[in-house]
Amino acid sequence: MPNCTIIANSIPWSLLGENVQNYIPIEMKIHLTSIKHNLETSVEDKIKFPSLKWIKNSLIVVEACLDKTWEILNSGHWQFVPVEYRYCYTLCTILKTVLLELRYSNNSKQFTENTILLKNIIQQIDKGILLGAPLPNVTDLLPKLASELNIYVTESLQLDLEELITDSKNLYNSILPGFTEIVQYVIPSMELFYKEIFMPKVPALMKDCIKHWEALKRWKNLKYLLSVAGNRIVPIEIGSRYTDENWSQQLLSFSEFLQKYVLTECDQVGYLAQHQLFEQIPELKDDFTIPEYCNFTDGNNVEQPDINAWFGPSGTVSPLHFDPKNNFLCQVFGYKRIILYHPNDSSNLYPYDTKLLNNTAQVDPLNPDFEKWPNFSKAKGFMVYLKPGEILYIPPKWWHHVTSLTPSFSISFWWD
Amino acid sequence: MLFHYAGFNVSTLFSNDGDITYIVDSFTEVPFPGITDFQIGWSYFLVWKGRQLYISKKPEDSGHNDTDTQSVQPIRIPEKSLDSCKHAAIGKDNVVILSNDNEMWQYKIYEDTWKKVINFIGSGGDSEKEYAVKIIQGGCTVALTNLGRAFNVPTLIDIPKRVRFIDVAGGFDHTIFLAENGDIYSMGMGTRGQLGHNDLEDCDNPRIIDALAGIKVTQISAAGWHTAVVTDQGDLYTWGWNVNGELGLTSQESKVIAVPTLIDFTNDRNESVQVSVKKVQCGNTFTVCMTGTLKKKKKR
Repeated sequence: MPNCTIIANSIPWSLLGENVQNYIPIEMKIHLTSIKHNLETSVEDKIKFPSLKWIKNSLIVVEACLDKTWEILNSGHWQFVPVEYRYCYTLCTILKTVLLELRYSNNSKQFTENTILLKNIIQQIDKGILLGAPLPNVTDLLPKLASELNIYVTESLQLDLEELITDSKNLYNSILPGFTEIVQYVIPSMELFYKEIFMPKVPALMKDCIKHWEALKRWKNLKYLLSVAGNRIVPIEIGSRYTDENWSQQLLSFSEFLQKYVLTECDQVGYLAQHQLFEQIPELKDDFTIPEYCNFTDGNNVEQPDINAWFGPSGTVSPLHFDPKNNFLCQVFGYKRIILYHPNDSSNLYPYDTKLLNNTAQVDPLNPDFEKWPNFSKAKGFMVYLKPGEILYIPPKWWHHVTSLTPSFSISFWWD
Repeated sequence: MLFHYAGFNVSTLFSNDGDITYIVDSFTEVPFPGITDFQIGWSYFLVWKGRQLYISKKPEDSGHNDTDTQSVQPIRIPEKSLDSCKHAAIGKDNVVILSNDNEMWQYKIYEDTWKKVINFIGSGGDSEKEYAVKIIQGGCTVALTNLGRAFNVPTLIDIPKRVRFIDVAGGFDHTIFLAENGDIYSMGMGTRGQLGHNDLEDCDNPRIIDALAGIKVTQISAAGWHTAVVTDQGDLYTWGWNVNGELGLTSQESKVIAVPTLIDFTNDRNESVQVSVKKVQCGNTFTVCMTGTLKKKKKR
């Protein structure tokens, strides 16, 4: 096999083989084993090149397995989907990218020069990352592969981007009538955090704790984000609130999202919300660290926090809801306003009674309808403005409503 | 009768020099004599010859290309004669088969192993013997009995009193039932509108579809995330997921229709026509129906 096959040569084939043996559903395995086997032999034996006919037939089979697996992943409740089918989606993605590369390099063309194909392959990999699950013994294969390929795609930057956010430190300070401010700390010691915030479960604004993050300087320069993530596919929520009738989700490339929803006035709001972007694009992880405070736990849990990215234009709204875990909302750039209520106020907030939305309130704290929700007047609301470099601690089950006042990038850490 | 097949093929039914032909690009006769019926699984076919059942599947391979296995093999229930199958339900990696003597067997097709399904039906309380008459395998296995009860195997499904089901159909994650009196019930996932209850909620037990109350349904079909039914008036109703246009509703922009919707048939000049629908069949992403001739509606 020629040396131009970047993907095929970067796959740890024998480890992959163990995964195929042990973790793939049988009705998929019977179709995928021989394809994997033939590809592996071709890579080891540098002379033998699979025939174009074989490559095309194998692509048909892999596509069919991808489609069928997609159906299974989308049936029933996501949390009950057998993880084997998510492994299978990952495996099919890997095989498909190798085959696509082979089909192209079969004409001994340099495949990295074909930007369209490269982008296509990166998009396929991202779908594999989003829907699949990392294979047990080659966990970072897809993210690494995408990062490697991304280097070859030189995005023609036609956007003239300086810094996205104009500095407006003093614009956002006024607490609206009827709301109470929350407590503030400047770099609390570990002990202070534990005693006054974490143990008693008090929401708190913590200043200057993440001032040193590279992300604070780098990410507001959109050229940087585009070079790392421009071609990568991300899930975007369309519609101002997830409780709205016409709310939907779309898969877009990061640069499409930027151009369509962040940099231009758009009558619809697009929000990259609650996405594990840093599992997908590990390079971005180098620009921040997990706050040490996350080492305090409620049980004896030792798992790493769930890290999510929240990036969008001015005007994104997360309706009033609660999450089951401890939450650090960390502001990278832009400004947000957060309204909070104590868990004891739940009945005054009128949670939806449907399974899907029972952690979400029907009241809108910014436009309260006291006739419809009379008890809401009893609820005690807190308000805080979050600025770049600040952390908001939201205790488990505390209700929160989040509005971005400018284009904004936040990282949240959820832990038990 | 001859059977012809075209399209994507993952069984060993069609091959060329030992290599599987993945795309059968024109209708090709199924190379097996005496076929009386044909069932299509995602990665295998079942072929019926009267009450004999045969399977065509790709064998589990170790990465080597030895295809010495026969392309079509008989499925023989242990200790029974070959012609003792009366009904088969296609599953991902297994087939559930009803035998002539009303036993239920599960055949793991890739392991080539059999398991007799222990009798979960028991007695319905009265003296009449009860046994499964139809089985579907979607997200779960549902069995309908001759007495009109249904089981989410092996658990009895809670059905309203005096209701008898006479047919069952299912998609990826929902199940619908036709009751003796023409009412329609549905249960399972509702997130894609597939239950027809005018919301997106799930249902743990069969719930009557109110929108079809008073309308006598005669035939049902479901697949993927949608459902279609035919009434005694020859009307066709569809509901559920519409991303591929599978509901056949030209005027609907929406990708989800959570309530049974009457289909208005039109001719090539886009005029409404009167149509009597005889039968409907859903595929995972499409719907086929059989009708009488199209007649232009009389203008008043």
